[in-house]
Amino acid sequence: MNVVDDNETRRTDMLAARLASETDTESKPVLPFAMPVACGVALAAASAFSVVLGVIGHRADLAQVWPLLTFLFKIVSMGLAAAGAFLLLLRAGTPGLPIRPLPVLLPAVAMLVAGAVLDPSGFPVAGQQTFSVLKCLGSIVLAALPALAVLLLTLRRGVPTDLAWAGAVAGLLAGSLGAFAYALACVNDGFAFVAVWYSVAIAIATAIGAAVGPRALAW
Amino acid sequence: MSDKEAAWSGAMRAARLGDSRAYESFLKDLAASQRRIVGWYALRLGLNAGNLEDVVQEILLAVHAKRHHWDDRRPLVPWVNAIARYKMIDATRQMRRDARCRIHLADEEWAAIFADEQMPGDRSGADMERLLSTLPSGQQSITRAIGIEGESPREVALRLGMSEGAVRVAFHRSLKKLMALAGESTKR
Repeated sequence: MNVVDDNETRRTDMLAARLASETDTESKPVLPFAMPVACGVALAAASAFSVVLGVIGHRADLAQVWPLLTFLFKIVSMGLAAAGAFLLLLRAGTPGLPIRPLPVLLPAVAMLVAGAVLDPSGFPVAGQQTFSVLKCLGSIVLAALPALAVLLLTLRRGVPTDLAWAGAVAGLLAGSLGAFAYALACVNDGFAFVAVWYSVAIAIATAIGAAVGPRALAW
Repeated sequence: MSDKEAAWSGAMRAARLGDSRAYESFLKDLAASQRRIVGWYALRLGLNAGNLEDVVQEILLAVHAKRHHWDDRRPLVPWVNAIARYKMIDATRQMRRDARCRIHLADEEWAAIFADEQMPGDRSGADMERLLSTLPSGQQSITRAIGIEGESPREVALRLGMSEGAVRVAFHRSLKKLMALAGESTKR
């Protein structure tokens, strides 16, 4: 047994020597992970916007509603969610950093919960039309899918070590970007509608990311 | 900062300046420390101890492949540990997957059984052909290639465009089937 162990150990030492002989003086440190992430997120956002604007088109009264509180609520809460997810994505692609999702997601969560509970708008939670909820969920998830693909490719430029988590974070960011883009098309202005159904759509995107992460990110 | 952190990150910085000797001793040190961790982890999970050194080598290769990604303003030890943990979990999952459809013999031993004319039951080549022909065609060609022609699973995988793991699994499944069949016909 010992003989075998020594042999095995020697084999590893030989591997170490071989790898060491590959060190090169003109070592090329990789770009800090923040650079590809910034590009990837911009590309993901662009793809989410093109899906929403290309497939559904922006709401006809966008020019009138943009300064209203109902519209700002959507934009700001989804922007906060995306910002939090962005920070988590940076960490998910860098080994050895603590995860800590709560502090970065707290602003978005607090805003959505407050919106759902205090809803001053008086609009119905289920939306104005029969298929409001389905349309909202479907559009956001649809807009999130290409963004998710871009973000998973971006993560592969880094060093993800918890693949399901990294996939989930990519899904969370893709979902937030999809929801942000969908806000330009969505005609349901109830705070509670946004807080509930946008969140459900983002949760679906997050679950998809977590499910595909281990396969898509394996290295 | 711990001694280990100082030594390892120092060696990694030196490696970036082309000091391959410092890098080699870092890799050996890393292997030694991972060997302990992987051994302990395998013991706890009751895994086959045979391929532990493979896991250690996987970790070394992974750290080496990603070495340029390390930001030298950050500590190296947690960075290395996260990568090691990932590779360890990955290897565990693969071992488990293999173990489910494996009879515990190494590929070489299986090949030896096939090559040996005096195998248990004293089977002739014709018997073997007859048994083989009961397998689905994919499994047949894999079993023939590895078991009779002595190709390595890797070669077969490359030739058939499959992953090496899938080839190994298919090989072990067909052997299991063959053993069962051979057992039946001996009883009769």
